[in-house]
Amino acid sequence: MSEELTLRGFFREHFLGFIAGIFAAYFSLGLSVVLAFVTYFRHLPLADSGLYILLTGAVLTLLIVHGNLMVLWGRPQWVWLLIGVFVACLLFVLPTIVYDPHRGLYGLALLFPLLGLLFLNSRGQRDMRRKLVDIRQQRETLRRALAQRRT
Amino acid sequence: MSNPLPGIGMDSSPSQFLARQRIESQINLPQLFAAIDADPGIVGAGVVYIDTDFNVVTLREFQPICSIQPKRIILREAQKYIAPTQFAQQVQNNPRESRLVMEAVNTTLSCAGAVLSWTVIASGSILVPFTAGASGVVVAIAYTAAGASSLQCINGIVRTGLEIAKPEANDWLDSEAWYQNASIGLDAASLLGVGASALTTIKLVRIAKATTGKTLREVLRGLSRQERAKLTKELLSINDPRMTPKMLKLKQLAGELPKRYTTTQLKHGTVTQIKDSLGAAIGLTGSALSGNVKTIAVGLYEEFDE
Repeated sequence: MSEELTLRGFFREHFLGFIAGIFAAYFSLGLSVVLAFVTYFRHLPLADSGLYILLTGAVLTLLIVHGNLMVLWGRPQWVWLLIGVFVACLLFVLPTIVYDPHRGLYGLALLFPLLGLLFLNSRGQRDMRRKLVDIRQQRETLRRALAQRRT
Repeated sequence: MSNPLPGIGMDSSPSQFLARQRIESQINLPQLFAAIDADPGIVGAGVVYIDTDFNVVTLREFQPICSIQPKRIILREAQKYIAPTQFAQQVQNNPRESRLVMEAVNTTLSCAGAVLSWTVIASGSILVPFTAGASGVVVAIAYTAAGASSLQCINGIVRTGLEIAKPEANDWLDSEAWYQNASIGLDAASLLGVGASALTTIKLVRIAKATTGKTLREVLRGLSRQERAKLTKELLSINDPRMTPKMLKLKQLAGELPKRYTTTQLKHGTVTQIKDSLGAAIGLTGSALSGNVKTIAVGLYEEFDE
């Protein structure tokens, strides 16, 4: 059992790591979408491919949001969804080298998923996830107590 | 005023005169004044209208009822200032570098919004044990706020990247109606999530930028220092009057959203009424390239001691 997580403690110790993980996911996904436009779907007219690329990006965005919210609400197993997104971005980006995309974009698109995985694996994030589970347990106890009082 | 500032053409020039005529015919002035006076915070505030040609028309002088220091409601009309063909030409000749900067700035703003959203959600969920369970409302608001602001942030990143690698894709996006509608929807949704003033400013700047066709820097430069300082707090976007109760809920849920509005501020109810009195002739939402919308920014200005 770790020590109790206060609001102040969370913002002092964990928030930076948490938001860094989120932004790593944002950048991984965003850059993957950009690379999709300029590599795999380069020869298709924008009107045919653009909407579908962006829709896929939007769905993945919502998955990232869902995963992070679930982690925040004390369900650490959802972190695997985030890992999945990072790995998917990485695997998607890696082969685009054959299209010779913009070097900077390609480098960043590789860097951010790896950074994201690093953040997720960091001690701070693991610690945070453990504490958030405690919070969920408190919350559920409280809710059960409230329900009992009502009946 | 009897002194017409002779010689420099700053008196009631024909365009100023015409602007007054036009405004008075377009807007139901008594209704507008009634709406303003209905709000105790701004009873008797002066009303100033700035139209597209930067004619400044004082519709009503300030009367010291609500406070001694002058307060003014500024209605600022923003409109595409130049002919469509000319605009198209200008866009084509525009160096893309400045657009890259613009996209990057936009991305930064949207991503700042995302940080705010996550901050609010995180503090809400950590406080939850003490405020009893996560209800459906919390969950829904969290999803909306986080989802919309994340989509905006990633949208910004994608646009910035495309501006580097494939600029014509951005042009294509701007020309698609579904994309514009989605952007406006996301703006509204993310505003709903975070009641902080930062996003209001972002929205204002966006609208001003979109409707005037000016670059971000020009929009920001067009306002004086004092105006800028006040604008960040005071100018209200009027796209979604329904925002208020939801925002309040969120504030209560989060428990400790800082109340940074220390000076007077236009209440949304008042804005809605002002909007109504501005009449159907004027649309109140801005959209980048659809061209025929006219935007009016409503702001409350108050002179304050340095």
